[in-house]
Amino acid sequence: MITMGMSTLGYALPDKETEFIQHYLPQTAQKQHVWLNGAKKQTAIDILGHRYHKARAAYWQPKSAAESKSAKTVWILEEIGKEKYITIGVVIEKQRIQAVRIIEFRESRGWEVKLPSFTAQFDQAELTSEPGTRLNKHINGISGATLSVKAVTKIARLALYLQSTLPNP
Amino acid sequence: MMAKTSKTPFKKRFKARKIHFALSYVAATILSLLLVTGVLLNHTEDFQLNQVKIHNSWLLNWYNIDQPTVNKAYPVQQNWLSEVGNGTTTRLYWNQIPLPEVGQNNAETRIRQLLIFNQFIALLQPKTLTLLTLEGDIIERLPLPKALYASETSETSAPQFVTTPQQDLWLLKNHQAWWLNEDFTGLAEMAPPNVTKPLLDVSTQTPPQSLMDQIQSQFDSPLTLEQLILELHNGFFFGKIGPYLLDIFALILFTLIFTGIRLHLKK
Repeated sequence: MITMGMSTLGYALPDKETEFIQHYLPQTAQKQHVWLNGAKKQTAIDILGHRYHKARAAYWQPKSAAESKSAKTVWILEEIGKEKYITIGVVIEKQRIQAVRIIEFRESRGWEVKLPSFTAQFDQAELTSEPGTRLNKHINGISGATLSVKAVTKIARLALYLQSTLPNP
Repeated sequence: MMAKTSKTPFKKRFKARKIHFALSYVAATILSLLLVTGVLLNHTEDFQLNQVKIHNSWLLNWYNIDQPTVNKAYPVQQNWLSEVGNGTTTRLYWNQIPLPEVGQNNAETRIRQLLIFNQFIALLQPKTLTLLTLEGDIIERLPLPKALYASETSETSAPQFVTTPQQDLWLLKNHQAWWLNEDFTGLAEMAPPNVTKPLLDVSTQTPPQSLMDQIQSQFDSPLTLEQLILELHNGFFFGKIGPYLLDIFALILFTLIFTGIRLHLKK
């Protein structure tokens, strides 16, 4: 059961997003937001190479987590591959990626990034200490899906960076 | 007798030469076009011809491609939020930058109302309430309750945006009220507030020509240089008649062969 007042407030997530959140946070998940302003906005630009298309990024944590950066967190973010947005789910716990999933792929080419053999490469990835926005693992590309691979990698970095900005009570 | 026999071949030869010359100029021109386009088509990937979008008005008209036009434009401080359509699709632009698409058809994208409230922009679309910052970043896209939907083209009774002394944002329609929650994550149907103050929509204005030019130049034209060259090469640039024109060209080449042989033999 995902609470965040979705049904009561007339706001419903797409089914695939709900399934993804329920799969990784089967207990009550609570939706939170990180506003991309100031340094966060600039770092997001540095990672993506352009402005993130939203003023805030959504994430879900167990209700008991109270916005902790070490808690298990599900991020659902979007990035353009070549022309269209790819909706990507990233699960992070203790500043490490637990899972990356392509929730919605809208491009006509580059679908290979949906394959588990590709997304599994992100497991246990974390940001390097210096400069702090790079992955500590090399992600192998896919011939014919270069732009999609870049998009997924950028979102993995962005999710890890945003996770690091959460408070640590 | 001798004079008669020598006169006739000269006349025929002269005629053949005239035809040969006239056709050779036509053939040379068409052949050059086919050679150049053929070479370019052999190297489309090298030259990235499929990446070059054609924005020329005449060519777009020739292909019956609708060019983007600004349907509505709203001034937001020093910026413009515009609804840009090209016949089949509608997109929203923040100045010259297209906003991320949620749907490109008119039924989902067109702007019904726009207002500025408490340092954010509330944009009412047929099935969505989109909230943006004053810098043009999207905060949230909230699906509207069905009671607030608009039909595809008309606006029979638009909801009214109001605020309360608590500075909340409400939408009212037919004695129903929806409250925008504090973290902008949803609209909740509630009892209408007692004290309300209507909020005024931003009126549409004509944007500067420079903005319209920028939007047109960034139009994601479906016509690429590769397609243009290919259709010049195979004749379809001229429509259904194109292949027949190439047939005529083949006949011209065939005629040139015969007139050339004749001229050669009669030398």
